Amino acid sequence: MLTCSFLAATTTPSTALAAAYELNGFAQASYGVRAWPTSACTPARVCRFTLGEERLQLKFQGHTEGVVDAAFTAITDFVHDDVLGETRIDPRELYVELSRGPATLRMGRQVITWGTGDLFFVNDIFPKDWESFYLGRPFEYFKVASDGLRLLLAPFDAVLIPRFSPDGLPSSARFLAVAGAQPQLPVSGGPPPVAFRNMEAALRAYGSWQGWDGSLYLSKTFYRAPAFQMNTPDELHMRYPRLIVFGGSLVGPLLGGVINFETGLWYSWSNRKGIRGDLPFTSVRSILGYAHPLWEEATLSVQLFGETILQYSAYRSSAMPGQPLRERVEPMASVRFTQTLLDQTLQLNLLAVYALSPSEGFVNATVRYSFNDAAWAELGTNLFGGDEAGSMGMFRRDSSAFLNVRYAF
Amino acid sequence: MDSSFARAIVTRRNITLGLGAAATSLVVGELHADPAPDASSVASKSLRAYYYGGNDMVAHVSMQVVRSDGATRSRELSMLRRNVGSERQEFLMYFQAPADVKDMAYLVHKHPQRDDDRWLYMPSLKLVKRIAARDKHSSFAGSDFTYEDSVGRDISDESYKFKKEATIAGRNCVVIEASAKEPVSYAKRVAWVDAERWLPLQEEYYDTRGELVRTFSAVEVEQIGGVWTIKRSTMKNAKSGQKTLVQMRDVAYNVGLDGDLFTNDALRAPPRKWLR
Repeated sequence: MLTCSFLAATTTPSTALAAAYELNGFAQASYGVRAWPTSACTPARVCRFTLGEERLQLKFQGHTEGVVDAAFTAITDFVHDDVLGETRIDPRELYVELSRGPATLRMGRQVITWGTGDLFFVNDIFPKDWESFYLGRPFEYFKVASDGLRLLLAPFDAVLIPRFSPDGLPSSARFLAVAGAQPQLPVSGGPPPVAFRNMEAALRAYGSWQGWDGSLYLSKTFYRAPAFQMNTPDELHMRYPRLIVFGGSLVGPLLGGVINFETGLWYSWSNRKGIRGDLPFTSVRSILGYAHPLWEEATLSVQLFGETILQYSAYRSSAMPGQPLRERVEPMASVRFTQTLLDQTLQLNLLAVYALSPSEGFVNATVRYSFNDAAWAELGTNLFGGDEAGSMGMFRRDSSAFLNVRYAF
Repeated sequence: MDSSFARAIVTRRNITLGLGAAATSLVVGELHADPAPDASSVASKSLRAYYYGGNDMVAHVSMQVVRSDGATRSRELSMLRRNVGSERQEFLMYFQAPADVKDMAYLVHKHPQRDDDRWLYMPSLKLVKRIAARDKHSSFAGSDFTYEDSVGRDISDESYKFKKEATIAGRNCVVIEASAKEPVSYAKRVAWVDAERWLPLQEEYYDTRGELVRTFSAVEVEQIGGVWTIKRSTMKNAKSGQKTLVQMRDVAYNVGLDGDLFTNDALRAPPRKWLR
């Protein structure tokens, strides 16, 4: 019986929903080359290619209906990575979902997206893979799944995450900027171990009124980028500091476009007295964005982002020697233009991000063409520029051009 | 009434208009009637007949986009629609195939007095994205239909005038000309509206230079649950030669769709019970 359902699902897409099980997936190849030659590439260090991988993704889904509806999703990538010289299995999502009436409980590895920002994040405290994005993998790889429990019961959305996942940050194996900044000392520490006190918890309450969508957020979590401190004179200790985030967001129509505003307090729990120069300081982060169609199939969106350090004088006085000082307010802006052509088979995307202090920027441009319903190719570039002390400018030598080709089934 | 008997009645009422892209010449004659029908009233009845049938509706929609060179792309989706009061409507469209749009969902809250609210769910990012109201003239899922075609336009978006009466495949039609107040994807629309059932049997869309841009044709009309329904239709792009064929199946009206189905939550968790 299961076999019949399975066959029906895979051979006739239009009847897939009637079946209990479905198998989909894609084969994908991704290649990236550094945008310009660098003297850092030597015979001993081959770094011309930033990305070179072939992957097969299998997505297996099923559901049954009864007193409680049950469903599962399993998404696994099988990856051959030419740059790292390895083959690996990447279980991207694996969750079971139970639904009854208005309540849905989702358990397992799952991607969660909150907030309103486009690459700027305030209340979306869930992990991201910045390395994937900087390398040029398709954008869906930017989102990293969390291992946890999610209860959706309108107007509440509650998440518990027993096992911490850090952000995927650019690694020394692929990024020259990181390779050159490797600490010379041994590093101890790591992610917070699985323990009740380390469980992340996040709650969102949401609602809509007259076309406006509003949300309030409260999260007990950790910074997903590590902080380092000198444990002993000859050892660095790495940790992910505790973080409380409280904020809100609003999205709605304005003059034929869409406006979004989001703000949040990032309360650095491990540094609440504001005396630890080696830990993040409490700040307020805000996003104001507006997207408007320019003409048919074209949209321009603009975002302003700002982070304000609240205990700035304490921050200045506790700064570690040699540490570059941040400004009290650090504004950033982004512009994204998208255009689809040829009956949406050709997609153009241009994203530019600019930060004022330090002065630095980033441009992401992609052109994607769909040959048919199953196959597409995407050519793109990630260009970094500006002050090399900044979080974008430091990757100047890691600017790259990339190609993604996918065949879906 | 015995259901098989009811089906037999429905089958006898099936009317294949045979109006495909090459059949626009089937306008076989003009009628002469006085006084001229009120064009706004005809447009209003046509919008209601096409987009408002029943209190609610569920259907499976198959779209096939055929390029001028014969290459085809397809879209399979479930469509849920609910009328809220006399004017407001809510639509949920849930894509099932092909693989690159599978599980994508589109939600529209259509308002008579203000811009519609639109949301798009992108499953790979688990992201619900708000879509600008002005974007309604963009292509619907890469087809020759626009978002506006898929959920209907407001009567106040156009001004109307009566052109003539005519017949298409034996059906008496009122032909009206609708001028878009804000020409975007078209400046003028000429519609052949069935004078009895008020469904649009053919529509021609013209740009600001008066050139034909697209032609809509109803190919098969059937009465389902007492509601006359266009089960098969085409939209042909006059400039590119591309056309989109739409076929609806498993259509049902007045099934009791609840308002909770037309929320952001339903975008993320599809209502399987109602998917066709």
